[in-house]
Amino acid sequence: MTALLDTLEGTLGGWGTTLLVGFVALAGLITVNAMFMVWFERKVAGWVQGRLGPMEHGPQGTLQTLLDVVKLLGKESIIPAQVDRKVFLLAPVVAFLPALAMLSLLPYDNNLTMTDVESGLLLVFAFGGVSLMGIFMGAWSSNNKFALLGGMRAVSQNIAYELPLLLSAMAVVLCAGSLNLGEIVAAQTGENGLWFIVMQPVALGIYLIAATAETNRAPFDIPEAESELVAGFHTEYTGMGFAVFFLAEYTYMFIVCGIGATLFLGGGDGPLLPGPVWFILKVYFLLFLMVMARWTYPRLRFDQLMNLAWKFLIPLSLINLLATAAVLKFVEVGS
Amino acid sequence: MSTESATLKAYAAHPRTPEYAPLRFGTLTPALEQAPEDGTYYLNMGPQHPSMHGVLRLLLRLDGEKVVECEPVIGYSHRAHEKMAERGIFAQFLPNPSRMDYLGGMIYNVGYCQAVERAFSIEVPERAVVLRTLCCELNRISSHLLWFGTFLLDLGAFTPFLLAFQDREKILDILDSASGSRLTYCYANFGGLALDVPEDFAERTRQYIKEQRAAFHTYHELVTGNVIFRQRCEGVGIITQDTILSYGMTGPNARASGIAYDVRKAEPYGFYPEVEFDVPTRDEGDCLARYFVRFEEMEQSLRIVEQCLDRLPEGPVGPKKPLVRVKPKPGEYYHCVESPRGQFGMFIVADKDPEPWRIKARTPSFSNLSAMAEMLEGTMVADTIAILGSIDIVMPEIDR
Amino acid sequence: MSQDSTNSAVPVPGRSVRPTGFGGAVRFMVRSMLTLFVGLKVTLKKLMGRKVTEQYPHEKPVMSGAFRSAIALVSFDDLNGTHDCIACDACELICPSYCITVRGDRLPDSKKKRATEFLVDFSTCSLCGLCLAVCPTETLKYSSGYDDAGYNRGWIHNLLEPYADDPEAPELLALLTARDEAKRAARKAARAAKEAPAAKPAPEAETTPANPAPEGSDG
Ligand code: SF4
Ligand code: SF4
Repeated sequence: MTALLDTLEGTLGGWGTTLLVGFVALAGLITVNAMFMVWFERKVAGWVQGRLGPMEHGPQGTLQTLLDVVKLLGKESIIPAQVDRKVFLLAPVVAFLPALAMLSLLPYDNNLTMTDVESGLLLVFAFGGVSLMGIFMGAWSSNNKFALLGGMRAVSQNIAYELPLLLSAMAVVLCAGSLNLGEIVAAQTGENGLWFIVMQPVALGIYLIAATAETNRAPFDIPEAESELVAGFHTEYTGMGFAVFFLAEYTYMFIVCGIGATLFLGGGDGPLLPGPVWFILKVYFLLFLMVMARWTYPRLRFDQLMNLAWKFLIPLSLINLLATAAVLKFVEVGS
Repeated sequence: MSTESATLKAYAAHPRTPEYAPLRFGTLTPALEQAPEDGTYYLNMGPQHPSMHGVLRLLLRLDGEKVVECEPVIGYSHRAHEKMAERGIFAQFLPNPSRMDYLGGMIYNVGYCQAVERAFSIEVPERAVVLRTLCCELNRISSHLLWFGTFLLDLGAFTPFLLAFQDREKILDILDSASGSRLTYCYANFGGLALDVPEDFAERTRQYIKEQRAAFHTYHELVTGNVIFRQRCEGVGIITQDTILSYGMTGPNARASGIAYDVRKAEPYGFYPEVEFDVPTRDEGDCLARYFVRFEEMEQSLRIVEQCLDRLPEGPVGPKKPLVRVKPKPGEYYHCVESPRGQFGMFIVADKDPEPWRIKARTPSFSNLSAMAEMLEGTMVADTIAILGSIDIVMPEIDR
Repeated sequence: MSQDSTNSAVPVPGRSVRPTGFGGAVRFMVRSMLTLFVGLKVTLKKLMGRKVTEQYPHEKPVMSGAFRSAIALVSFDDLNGTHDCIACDACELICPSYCITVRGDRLPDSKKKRATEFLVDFSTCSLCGLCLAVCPTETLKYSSGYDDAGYNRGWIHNLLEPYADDPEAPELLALLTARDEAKRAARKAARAAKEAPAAKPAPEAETTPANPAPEGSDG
């Protein structure tokens, strides 16, 4: 392993090696995560509903997703006659690519971050905005009214929920005093470090709700509400295009839960097990919550969704932010 | 020769009562040719759409997400059941009624048999009467359970759907053990039932009743109290009593608007006069009221089933050799029963021939759907689905 | 809290009250959150709970005794296990789905008819039971198979297939005649028993079908 790395470093240089290794690791992470999540989601759905979920391929159906991927790859990609071809084909890529950048920003452990940026948190959310473009491009270019409705819903929903998402994260940033994800984790570990879930339970609640909405997951899955809009923004996508959108959805789930674990659950902090394992465990715990929510609740209506964001979540997160700031100031003055 | 027949002319000249609501079928389709100029647009929902309950097509004129106008387009699963009836003898129509409304198959099957029995004075043994009532009520519960599941599915919750299906499965098993079919029953025949129920029938049914009562508790925890569900249903899709009356809506939809009309009470048939049950009503007329009415109806049905089990007499369940050729008496006969969706009526015109001269089915969903156009105006797209789900239509029953 | 809508076993008549004032709004919010947790509790319980899935091709369900599958011919013990279709066409004529085709021929040196071809197109059968009801010899029944499938539009069951090694005509004729004789004797015995003062029930005579009326046989 080290020998291999050395050879690589010799030919590519330090920076090139980091890039290559990072890229391979990320690609692996994305695929494994998506495959696991699809299987996991099906299993949980099945168990919740008194079923068994996939059972046929591999023990407990673990190979099911792999075969599904093969099936999707083998499918014909149908491009409807009236779509805006270039945008239509580009859209899944635009929706998916930011995920790579976002993943590289996550702190998997104290000093295991692929790109350590000073304002990492802001950058993650900024890239999230780009992926929205992909969704909207797909919706608009599809030349389908269901897709268009889905796209419009997606945009207004994401804009509405970006605010509480950021505001709840800001409360944590105030506590940690840094936008750097690594430093936020560091603030929660160490001698008298305390996970921010203790200090910021309200922010965690807001974050989870907003994150579910940001990733268009049930009960906030109105952009693709299948009982209303057939499949929403990806109605016209088949085969690979659909698969990429699907992949993007699961990757974003991983990312928001990763950020959630970083902000509130102390990232890779934990006893006995190594940091990355703790990080992954925490992420999948949050993902499990998201999956459970999907299989428990009915879907909100569009206006109710907006009301929830603008009338409840944003004021609440503002109050939370102000209160945090005030308390911090008092503590600072007091000490 | 004028193309208009005398009947048509007479019909056109007939004064309509002022409160008679015009049916809204076919109002929007001609306008499809050109796009509206006021910024609205047409959206074609169905016939292939995940929540159109089969093959309904809703043509919506939308302003953003608001429904401006709506036209239900029907007929995609028309199978000419009524014409089929004229083709054979009365008995040969036996398999058809349960295919009209496949969710209330037992009730339709029994309803048709009762219509023929009443028309031509055919005796039914007491045990068969009680068993028919029992099976009809089980069927009503299974239909309401399926409605509950699909309604929640329309609202975006998947789990209640499958939980409801698991409970429905128990009913299907029980009915299967009696009738041999699971969905489209041909259990009743003229003068009784095709065969007697198995030994363990009563025991199984009692067990099921116990489990179902516990399951209701789970449903209420999971769904009824849920704030999202409440928000989606409360005050949505209000049907006024005027609308109900002018469109001839019946069944749980009418009862949710405060009209306590139930064929089982209004024109009792079968064993219903002998059993005790209530007709639950609500006054609000919205989706939540319809939800509650159906739930209370399921509980009443469980009550009826219990009473039927308690008072199940011994004896034959029908004539020794099933009656296939009935002797028709010329005349016009109407018999209606309470299907899970409202009043299902069989209008039979018979002459001396062994074949019916005409059979007309009055199916409740048709009337219920007719009011859709009125109810949908001014709602959101998401509400459209919720309202459609709460009305509980079965398309093959409308198209026949 | 005016109404706890989440913990009652009967449909909750209550409707949520629109919140008024700030306190009302807060209470409404808290109560709403609680309902969400109650829902989550149910699904978590289900997550651990019993699973009802039947792993179909690996586990086969048991069909109820009444289960209706494609019709089949009954094999009678007193006929050495063969059927008793007299090709009277009654089932073919009554079938509302036109799915039965019966052809028959007279047995040599006899007036008795016997089916030579019995085809049922199960893809159109509506399982109405009329054919069973009209069969004069009660030689039709529902089979109980459930996992067969048709591979094209017509899904023809040949009901005579299990009876390919039927006894030869003379033997068959002897069997039929013997059975008719036995039946007649049983009927006579029953009549005698009825006429006798101590009337004894004769169950065999009641359950076995009456001798088929021959009028259908020259169709
Ligand atoms: S069950 Fe009915 S449809 Fe099927 S073969 Fe017999 S008569 Fe025909
Ligand atoms: S009715 Fe019975 S005896 Fe007659 S042809 Fe059909 S199966 Fe054979």
